Amino acid sequence: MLWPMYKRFVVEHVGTPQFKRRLARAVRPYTGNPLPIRATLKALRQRPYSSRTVVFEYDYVDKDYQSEFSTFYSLAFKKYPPRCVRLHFFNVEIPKNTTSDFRRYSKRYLGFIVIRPTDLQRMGRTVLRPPVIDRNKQFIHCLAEFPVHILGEKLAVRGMPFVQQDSQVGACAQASLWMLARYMSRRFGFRDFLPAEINQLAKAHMALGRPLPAERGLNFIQILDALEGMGLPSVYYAWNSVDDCSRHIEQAFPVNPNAPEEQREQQLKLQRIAKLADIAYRYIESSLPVIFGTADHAFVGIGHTYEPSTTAQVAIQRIPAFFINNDNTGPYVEMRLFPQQPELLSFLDVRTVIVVSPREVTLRGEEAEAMARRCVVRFLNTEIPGQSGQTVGGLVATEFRPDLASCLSSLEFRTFLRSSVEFQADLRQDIKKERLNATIGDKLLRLDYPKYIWITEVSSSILLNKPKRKERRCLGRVIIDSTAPAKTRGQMVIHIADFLQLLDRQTGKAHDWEHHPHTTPFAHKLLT
Amino acid sequence: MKATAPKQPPREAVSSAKAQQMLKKINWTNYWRNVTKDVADEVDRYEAARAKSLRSVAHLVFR
Repeated sequence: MLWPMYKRFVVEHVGTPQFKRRLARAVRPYTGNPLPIRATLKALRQRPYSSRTVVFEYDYVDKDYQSEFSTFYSLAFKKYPPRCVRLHFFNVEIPKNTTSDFRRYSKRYLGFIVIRPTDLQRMGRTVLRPPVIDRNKQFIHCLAEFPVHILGEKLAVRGMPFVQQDSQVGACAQASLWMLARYMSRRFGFRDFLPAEINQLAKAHMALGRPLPAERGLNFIQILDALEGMGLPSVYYAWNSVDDCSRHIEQAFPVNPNAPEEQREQQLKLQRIAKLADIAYRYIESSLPVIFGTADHAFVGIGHTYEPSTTAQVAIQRIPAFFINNDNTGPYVEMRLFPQQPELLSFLDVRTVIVVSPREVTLRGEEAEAMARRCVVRFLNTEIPGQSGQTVGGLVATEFRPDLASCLSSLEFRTFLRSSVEFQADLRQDIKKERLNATIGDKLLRLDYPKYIWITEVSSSILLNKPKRKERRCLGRVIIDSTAPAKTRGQMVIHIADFLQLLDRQTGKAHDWEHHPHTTPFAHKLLT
Repeated sequence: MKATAPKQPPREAVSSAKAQQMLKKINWTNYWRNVTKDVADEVDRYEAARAKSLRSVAHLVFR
């Protein structure tokens, strides 16, 4: 028997009666929605986690629960404990008598779940490895490293934080804000925000009655206020306001004006949803979480699945589902864009998207892609004087690169944000591994970039329809200054079908186009 | 004495020279004017969508 002054850890093997009893004692009573904890524990027993051992860490001081405790639970008549139980999961059998040296198992560490000692919805701060089985088709982009300490030994888990609303200090909106903010703090250097602070920031400008208990949730403007208060620049779109923008989506999701009214409405709904998903996709691809809102619920988009065999006209057609952290159902849940089962939550239910970006980024992703798409399409469609209507693209297809002719007829654009340091490291690797022409790579490497750049890859179905992700390639790319005003020439590099142009952001000078034969296609960027 | 064929420039150099010739003929000022105008129109449409969005969803409550 240990004295209470000692930290208490207990090792249990998954599936044993002792484990089940101990787990039940830690988690029960579980009032409210048990779905997230049930789904998560079930997932942890299965592939790819295959959890074998759980280490129960008792009397754990969780700073997020401490925030909820000091703001709300400590004031209640009922004596709520100030501490939590933290469950550490490993996919290896650790001897039950282990009392130290957990670091030996660091490679088999799957992450943790904090269980709050509250009445309702006790699944607190949770960080687990992403459950990726097929790396060619599953991409969870929003991952950050979280250090974990067991008796002074450091382990780490790379994941997306999850929390279930406790419904007293936060509802789904606050839970989504917390997940997004905690991730941004680890990945992009923002500070941590605690649950009570988030609730306070959300309600600082728009008083709508008592702030606590917070079961009434937040309205759309309060979510924007909270993001503003946390210093996270946000941009939003609603599904019924996008009809005039994202026109490139309309060719793939057309509305037939002559169709019967019901069918036309259905087509318009699909088109709007595709436009909203297209906007969100650029940010998710950039490892920036997106808050999705239905008519009454909010959750966070963090990744996507990918279908390489689709013949697509626009990138979003390759995305069958987004991965979301949904406080109602659990972490890393797949949500289909265009589902067959209407009763399940899908992107068809989404009404709003709120995207965030690092402070240094002022140009929005959709605007960056407009810059890239317009300069590439205009370039290929430019008529060559004195050549009876012949275009640059036409000449590329007939004379310079007949092998690319079929790619040029249907272009797909994929835009994402990258730190310039990461981009330069990528270039070095690509040059070293001969995935990119060394002359082009060297020119790109030596340019002076802002901290973040938008990169638009130009590709086509022929180059992307490859089951193995490493075989997917692109026909070119455009690099955009992420701090450029939207209506200026923000392009820094245009490299398409062997043609290269560099543009000086300081002087506004566009250097002469250069032709570098056989420098395209090159490797499509893998972001996870 | 064996006759040697005249040396041909490499195929890539020929295509590059031809590409450079083509590029010189194009009016790039026009090109950039058109690109900038296209982008500005698209940016305006996104701006309008954002302005309309707030009005249409401000009442939604997420819980």
